Amino acid sequence: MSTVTCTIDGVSVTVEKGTTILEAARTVGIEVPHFCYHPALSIAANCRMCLVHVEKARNPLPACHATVADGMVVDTASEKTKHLQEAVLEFILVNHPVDCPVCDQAGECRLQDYYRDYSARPSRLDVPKVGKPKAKPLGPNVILDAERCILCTRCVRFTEEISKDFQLQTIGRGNHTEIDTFPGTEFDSAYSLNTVDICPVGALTSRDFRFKKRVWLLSRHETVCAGCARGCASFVDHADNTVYRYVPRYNPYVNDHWMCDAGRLRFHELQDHRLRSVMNRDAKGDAEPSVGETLERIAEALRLTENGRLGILLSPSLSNEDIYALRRFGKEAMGARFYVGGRAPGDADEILVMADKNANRLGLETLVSKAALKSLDALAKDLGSGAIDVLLIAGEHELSDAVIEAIDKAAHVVALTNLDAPWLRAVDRVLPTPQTFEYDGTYVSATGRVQRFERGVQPGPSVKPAWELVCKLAKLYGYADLDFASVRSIFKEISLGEAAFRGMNWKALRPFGAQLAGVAETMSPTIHARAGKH
Amino acid sequence: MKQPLRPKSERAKPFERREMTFAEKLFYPAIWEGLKVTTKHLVENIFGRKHTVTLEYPEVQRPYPERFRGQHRLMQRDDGSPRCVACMCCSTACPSNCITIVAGERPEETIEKFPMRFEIDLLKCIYCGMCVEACPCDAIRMDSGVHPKPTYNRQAAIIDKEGLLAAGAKTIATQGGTFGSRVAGHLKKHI
Ligand code: SF4
Ligand code: SF4
Ligand code: SF4
Ligand code: SF4
Ligand code: FES
Repeated sequence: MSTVTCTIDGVSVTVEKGTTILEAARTVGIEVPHFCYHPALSIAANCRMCLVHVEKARNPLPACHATVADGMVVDTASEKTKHLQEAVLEFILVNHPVDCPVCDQAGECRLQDYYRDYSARPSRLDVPKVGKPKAKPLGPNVILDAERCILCTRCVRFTEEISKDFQLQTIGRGNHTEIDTFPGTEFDSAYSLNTVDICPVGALTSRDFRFKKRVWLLSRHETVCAGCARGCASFVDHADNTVYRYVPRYNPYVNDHWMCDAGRLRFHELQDHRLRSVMNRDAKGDAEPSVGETLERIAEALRLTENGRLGILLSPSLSNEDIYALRRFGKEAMGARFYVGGRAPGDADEILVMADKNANRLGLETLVSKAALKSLDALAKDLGSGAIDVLLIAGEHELSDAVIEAIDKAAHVVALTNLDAPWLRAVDRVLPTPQTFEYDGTYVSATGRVQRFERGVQPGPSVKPAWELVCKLAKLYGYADLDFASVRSIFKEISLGEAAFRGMNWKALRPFGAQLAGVAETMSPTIHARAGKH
Repeated sequence: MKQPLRPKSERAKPFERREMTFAEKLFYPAIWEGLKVTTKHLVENIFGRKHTVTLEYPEVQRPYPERFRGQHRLMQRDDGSPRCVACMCCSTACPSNCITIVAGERPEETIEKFPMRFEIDLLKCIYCGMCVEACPCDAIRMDSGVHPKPTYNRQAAIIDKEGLLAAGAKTIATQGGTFGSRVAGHLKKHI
């Protein structure tokens, strides 16, 4: 590939031929303001916010569209260019309602930011603004405020190029142009909320998040969506120890810039149906049994259990560190049998959603070999034949009535789990564990990407991650070898001891994760789809 | 960290203590001087009351200074609904974190956001007026001049939306501000 060299604001830049001015400027840290340009979408060049002056060019050029040429001298910051930016902003704001006090986008609005940075001029308009529909539901998740829309068509291009369901269009002409769905249809795409993220202004808002919290009051932590085996990189935005929204985080190897609506809204279910307290079937009185006391009872039961008569039902939704601690304790101290359950499979699509609804199946099958993991049917059989005395269930599971009945017969059933579920009625002791956004750990996606997630909100005082509970249990049981102080130390041991994880470094897992050895590196399917375009 | 030494001219001068004279060491003249002042005020206050500085509170009250803010109030639109649009600017600006707002949606209205709950904890409030400065809608004001009253419990010191609105009045300020003279001056440059 040949390269070209140009000068942007006096800085010499060498880039591949065909690179746009905007992208070339980015490589040297010069930001050209833009609305309609999005790195994952085609170039529309309709907003004109990115206009720059180029020496010897007759007219200003849109930086998002014009490609650099050898010897080009670009100016993005002089008074002359500033005048362009001011003028474009004034045009865009002609019919803008400046709703900022009631607009959910305020605080993360490009128009607001650019207005402050590039214009900050009062309006000269003395005719009434063009009125358009406000708070108009486009679909189950997205609400449109047509007055705020700057007609950048990012949302339209998203439905054409990424979700490929062609659900949005522009209708009308001139001042009266609007974004709308086709007559008789609604914007019910499984990816509709991504348009809310990419909308540079507050024209598209999420029905779920609407008016719940001002964005500047939110804290942000990196997490991974545990809704399916894709494991979309995302941010969890929270305040007052409550999760308010999930937003996708760019990871070219996993999800590109996107995530599905179901995964994004799943935190409601996790927050509303989570377990908060310890349950002990034989506890006396109404007081909540303590974690320590419950672990003591479990350790007692385990001490009376012969080697090989402990069953551990693992969920592929557990983090690698949870699985590793459980595997080491089960195998080394108890000679346990391992079974695999988890969430039932669901729908899949061509974009991101996968049929396997467990976030870490590949991690589980790597850390506890596939051959050593027996099915739920085998569990029911072993329970029926009395081969297992104590059953430890870890993580999220969806179990059939037949399996629940079989579990009910086991002498002692312990669950380390996070969600309320019907099978809990067959369990003797429950220790609550955190949700993905409540602790630190790693998952391996179905494509072999090892990604880290971090704690956003604090779970209740009784909620402890499974690895911590297992370490405590091992100590009480009398197996002193398993003594991890942090997730990091477990991950270090995994990266030293497990071939597939060898050489991985906890810190280097940011921002895009690492690839599991033996699994070919793949890019996000949306990137494949756009390869070869423009 | 060690502070750098100030220039000599700015440094404190050492103070020389003066020896007391014999008369000063006796103390009686000084006590006599003091008693004279006290007695003078006593006599003046009983007869004449010319120079009395105390007020007979609460019958007589000293007027508050002109810029005294007083308790908050929420202004109303023409239909009596609060002008507040629950933008949270005031609660964000508030240094003592004492404003609680829960936003709600009114799909039938043009301004679709409104405060379902609006509470100010006057025990936490330091009466700084930042909330008023921050409000883009002239919805909250501190011009009532009402001094907050003591209460028997903490809960009673929290004023809610209804209380704040009842103290408010309709305001004619236009939403979004006006086209003032500063603006016109700025425009000359650009036209
Ligand atoms: S889109 Fe931006 S500028 Fe427009 S009202 Fe919303 S926050 Fe304000
Ligand atoms: S709704 Fe948002 S993303 Fe779509 S065209 Fe308007 S401003 Fe752009
Ligand atoms: S006066 Fe100051 S402390 Fe009191 S509510 Fe307003 S901003 Fe907060
Ligand atoms: S700043 Fe004004 S409009 Fe915004 S929430 Fe406070 S009182 Fe309401
Ligand atoms: S970003 Fe270049 S024209 Fe919109």
